[in-house]
Amino acid sequence: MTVQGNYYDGQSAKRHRVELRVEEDIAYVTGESVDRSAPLGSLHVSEQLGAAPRLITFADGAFCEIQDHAALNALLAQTGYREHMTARWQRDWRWIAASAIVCIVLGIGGYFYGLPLFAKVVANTISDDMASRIGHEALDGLDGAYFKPTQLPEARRHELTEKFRRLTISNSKFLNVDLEFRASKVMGPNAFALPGNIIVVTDALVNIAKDDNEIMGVLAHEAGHLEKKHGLRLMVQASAVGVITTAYIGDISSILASVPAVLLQAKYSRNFESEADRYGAFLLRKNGISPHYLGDILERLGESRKQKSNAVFDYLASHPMTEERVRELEKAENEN
Amino acid sequence: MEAATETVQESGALSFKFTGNGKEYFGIWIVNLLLSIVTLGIYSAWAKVRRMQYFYRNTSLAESHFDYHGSPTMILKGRLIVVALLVAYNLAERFSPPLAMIAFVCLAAGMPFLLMRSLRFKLFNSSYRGLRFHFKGSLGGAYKVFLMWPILSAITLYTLAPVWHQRLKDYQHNNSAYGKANFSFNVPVSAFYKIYLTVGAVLIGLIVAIGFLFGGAIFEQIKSTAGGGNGYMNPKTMLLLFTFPLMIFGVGLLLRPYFAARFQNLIWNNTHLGPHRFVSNISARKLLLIEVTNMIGIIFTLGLFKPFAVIRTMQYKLESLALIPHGDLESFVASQEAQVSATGQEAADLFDIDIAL
Repeated sequence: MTVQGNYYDGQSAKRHRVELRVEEDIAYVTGESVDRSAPLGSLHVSEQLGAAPRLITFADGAFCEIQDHAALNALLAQTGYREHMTARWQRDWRWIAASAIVCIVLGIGGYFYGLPLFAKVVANTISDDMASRIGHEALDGLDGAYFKPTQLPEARRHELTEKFRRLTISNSKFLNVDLEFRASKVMGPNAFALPGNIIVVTDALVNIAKDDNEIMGVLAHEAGHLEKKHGLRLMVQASAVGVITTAYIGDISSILASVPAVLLQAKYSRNFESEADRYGAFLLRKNGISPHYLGDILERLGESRKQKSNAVFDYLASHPMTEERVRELEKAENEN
Repeated sequence: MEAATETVQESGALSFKFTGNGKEYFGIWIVNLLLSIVTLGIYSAWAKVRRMQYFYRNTSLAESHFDYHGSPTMILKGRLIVVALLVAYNLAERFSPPLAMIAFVCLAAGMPFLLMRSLRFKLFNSSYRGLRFHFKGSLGGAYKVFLMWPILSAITLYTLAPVWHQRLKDYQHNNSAYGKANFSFNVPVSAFYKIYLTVGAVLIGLIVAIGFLFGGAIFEQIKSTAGGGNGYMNPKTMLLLFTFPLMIFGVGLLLRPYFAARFQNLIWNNTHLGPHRFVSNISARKLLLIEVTNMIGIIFTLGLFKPFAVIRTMQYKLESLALIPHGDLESFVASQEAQVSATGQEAADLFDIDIAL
């Protein structure tokens, strides 16, 4: 039994038409100015890659290129040759389907469980110095775009800073928070935490509060975000999703790649909000303040928000479940 | 009779043929992906060899095939080097900014060397009819195209970027060889400027148009929907801020295939191998159609369309390329022999750095 092929010596590109045959575990290649043989064990047979020719390579790099797949497979079957298992999996639809299913399951699992876990680990390795640099950079950016200097009198700011310091000092492992006051038309009554233990609170929030304990409630909630490093975790998650999608989709711009990150952010941040609420309630109770203050101001903020908000985007909003959160806080109060 | 054969060969362009298909490649791709995930990325070096072999062996010119010879362990070594450099840089950045500065300078100084080695790896491990390609670019040349020109183009606010691009292609194509035959490439910088200026003008025009049409509306919406809330920045605002770059991205998406097609044509229409020349007639419109449908496919199959997308693009790009032989290609190719300098010893030192060039 013989198979037709082309022989190349690996030193020149000259093509030799040859025939390949196997006798007693010795392969013979004969044809146009070629006559060589080698024991089967010294030859390498390339795996079958679709319509591509298969190569039978000698130890010195010379090889036979064979296009006749059926004839070669028959010859190989006679010699008892067995392809590498990976090469067989690549053609077997059962393995292909199983691989696809496992990849999809791993992808979904990684997205919902692996990624948050990874972000948590990475966020914990980010040094305070680095976090503070990130936070201050973000604050500088916001100062340029949205904020004006605060209009609150200095005494008032000092009073709130002191109250908040007393609140946080009660918790032994806490956190020297840098409380920043800003005025902003665009942000309205708002407060948020930035990496590096920065909490920004707007004048409008201070003014909308009916009791300082309400402000303390909001600040305790933000302190929860800092304590749990939510900001850093979101950042790590967003960049990880960005990197993976970019690597995966390849040429397509990283802007598109960050779409899943943003969508994911909304879902993650709902979990983060309730975690911060629990921490806030804990901090308030520790200082003898009822958690209902946080619930009260949340409700008021929800009201002021409803009047302005655009319903289309409400599904994605990071604080959509005010009522549920208020209920949870009331529960926290009853436990008190 | 002699003259007749001569004209046939002069006009007889030999197209590159690609016999890969999406269904076959899907099997290779998904098994590669699974094994890469399960081995935490280590298998990806073996995966690359399988992928490259599939692409190369399914590519033919004048009924002879290409082959890829990269060794998985060398590819893994290259990847480990890159990962180690990035980790070192990040650690330095965390612990001390001055150290990070030094690490950055070292990285910048070492990169041209690594990139030159990776070009050599890529060509040395590519063969046609059993004979390998070579890259002979000098280290000095690598420093010019991978360090000097990027810096010059950055400090001139990228007005010199087309020059950098031209020098890079010049470095790659004029230093490549097949057997004893050299590739040559000769395109004036002005041709690069022409494409960059055309693309730049269209891009600016479209961005200005989008800015006029949507900019005001977006700003109004940000103003009216923001406010309220007590947590992170309002996602509504974020989403709207997002729309604008997305539109710009859309414009970029439309222009990118045009850019890629113009450059493939410019570069290959001016590249010779010995006395033979290449001809490329890729159409920007067809490439755009392929890329847009690919992207839709990838998004709606959550990525499973990827291998089909890769094959479609590759098939179109390869089959738009042809070689116009001058005289008898068979005797030219058959007379090519390995260069003595390309010893096995040299090949053993090569490793791959996975940066697309």
